[in-house]
Amino acid sequence: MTFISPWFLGGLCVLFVLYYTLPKRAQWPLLLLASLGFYALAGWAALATMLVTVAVSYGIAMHMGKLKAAQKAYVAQHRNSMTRDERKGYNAAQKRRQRSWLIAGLVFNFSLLAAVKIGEALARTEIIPNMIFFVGISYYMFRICGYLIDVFWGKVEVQRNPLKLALFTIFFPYAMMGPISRYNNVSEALLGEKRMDWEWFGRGLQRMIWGFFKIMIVGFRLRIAVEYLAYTPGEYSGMFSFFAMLVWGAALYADFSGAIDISIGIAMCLGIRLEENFISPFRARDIFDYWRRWHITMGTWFRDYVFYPLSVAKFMQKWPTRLKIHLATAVTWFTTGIWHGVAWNFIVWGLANGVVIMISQELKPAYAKFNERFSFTKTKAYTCFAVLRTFLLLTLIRSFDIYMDVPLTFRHFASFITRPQFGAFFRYFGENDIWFGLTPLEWLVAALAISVMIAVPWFRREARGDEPKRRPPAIFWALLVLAIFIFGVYGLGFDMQDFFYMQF
Amino acid sequence: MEKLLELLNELYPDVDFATYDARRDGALIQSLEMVELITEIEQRFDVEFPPSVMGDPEHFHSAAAIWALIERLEDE
Repeated sequence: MTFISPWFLGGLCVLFVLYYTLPKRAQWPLLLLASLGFYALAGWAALATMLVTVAVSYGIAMHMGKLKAAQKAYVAQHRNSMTRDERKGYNAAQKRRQRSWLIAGLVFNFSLLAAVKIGEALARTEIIPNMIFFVGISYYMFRICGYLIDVFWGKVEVQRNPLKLALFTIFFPYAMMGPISRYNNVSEALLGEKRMDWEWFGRGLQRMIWGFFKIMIVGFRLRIAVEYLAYTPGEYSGMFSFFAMLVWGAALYADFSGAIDISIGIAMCLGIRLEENFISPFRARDIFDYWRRWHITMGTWFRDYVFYPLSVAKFMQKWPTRLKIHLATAVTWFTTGIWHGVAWNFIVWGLANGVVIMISQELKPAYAKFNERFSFTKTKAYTCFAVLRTFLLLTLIRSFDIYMDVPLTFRHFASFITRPQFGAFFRYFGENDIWFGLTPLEWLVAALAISVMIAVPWFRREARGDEPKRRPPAIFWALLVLAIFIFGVYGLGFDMQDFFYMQF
Repeated sequence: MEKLLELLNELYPDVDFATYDARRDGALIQSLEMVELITEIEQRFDVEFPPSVMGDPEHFHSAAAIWALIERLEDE
């Protein structure tokens, strides 16, 4: 089941009514039931795997919590009789014990994730037929492993109720595609009692409408064109391929950020604020900026739980700082690639990001000098150039998703020079009535919708945490709903795998 | 604190850390720079930074916040 199904929307209405009419203490159990139901529709095996993960993680977190409490009590009791070095030694020994439990938990969870990912990779090559689709597994694994690490670090209190931990793990709005929420950010709102706030509820609905608009008018529509171009890759090279890459950027952004808008919107209607996952990524000035704007919760997850711990790891303590940074960057981006799937295209995509980041980092002093030397770098035009450069660079990197085949993607890059097909590309539009599977009118609708996406600044402000000065009038939302009904692409919306980011 | 300000001014010569506050002036220390900063602090002060604090902006928004963290870590 996806967000775009009459069953889902009907169920959601029933949930909203029950949520605000039943006693408030029933709110979180109701959300858990709804989430389990939602997840069970993805398959019983997937549900069972998720429950095993929660059970094991719960046991380990509880045990780490007990060890921590005992450590704290011991230190408090012997505060005066221990020297600073003795206390440090004791704390270090206790930390080692807790770390071994943490590692056991992480190894268990990530082995399970690896087994599923490898299974999926083999299923793609048809070595294993009928592989079960473990929807959202990467997302819930990262949420629960983040929780385990936070418990170990002492950043969060241990959750003593396993059912509450289960709700945090698979709260249905973020179960399938994120955001990858952190326990300390959402647990209070998720598990607390909420009163109906009509203003907040209305804003949640608006956010959902915005998401549906992006997905159904732009995302699904443009995916048709991308698939059309990608399925006959030999023919559509050069300029065609570049066009496919541009369209894919718009399609993926609309599809993924739209789904996140719906997740955040549903949670807002339930009185819960989730983390933002996108803040105008195409306005990024460099790749660092881009990754602070695109799939933010994944980026910060890898930064906090992989990059930082690795970069200050003891075995690298004596290494030069730049070497540490580069190694940690390479490992982080390699694992980010693998997180998306055990396939070369994802691994190369991750490493490509890592390499560009490393080169950009090395060039930073040169850029700083350049910017200081030439005053035109402070002009708006230069900012536009930087934004365009970043956009094109990330468009190329993102294209590993389109063809799902690394050598083929590189051949397409080469074709920009060896077989650019400029003339053929522009002639194509004159010679054909249907352009890459879509009529000219469909292209016009998509282009207009993209213009609306770019022109509407309210959500951008809201995502940044600013209070928008002026909110769109009711007529704007009515027009969006009308547009979704008239121009929405429904044909794709009823299949589990339709959202690109749902496969992870 | 003097020693910390000296270090911060070496790393960011253009910024006046006596008054800088990321909550008002915008984030300055990004993830890659964070590693540089932590490495330098660990070398110059007798502290070990747990990775758990590195992702928390509240420890790094100003020189005073960083100094408070160093003092806390020295005590641990």
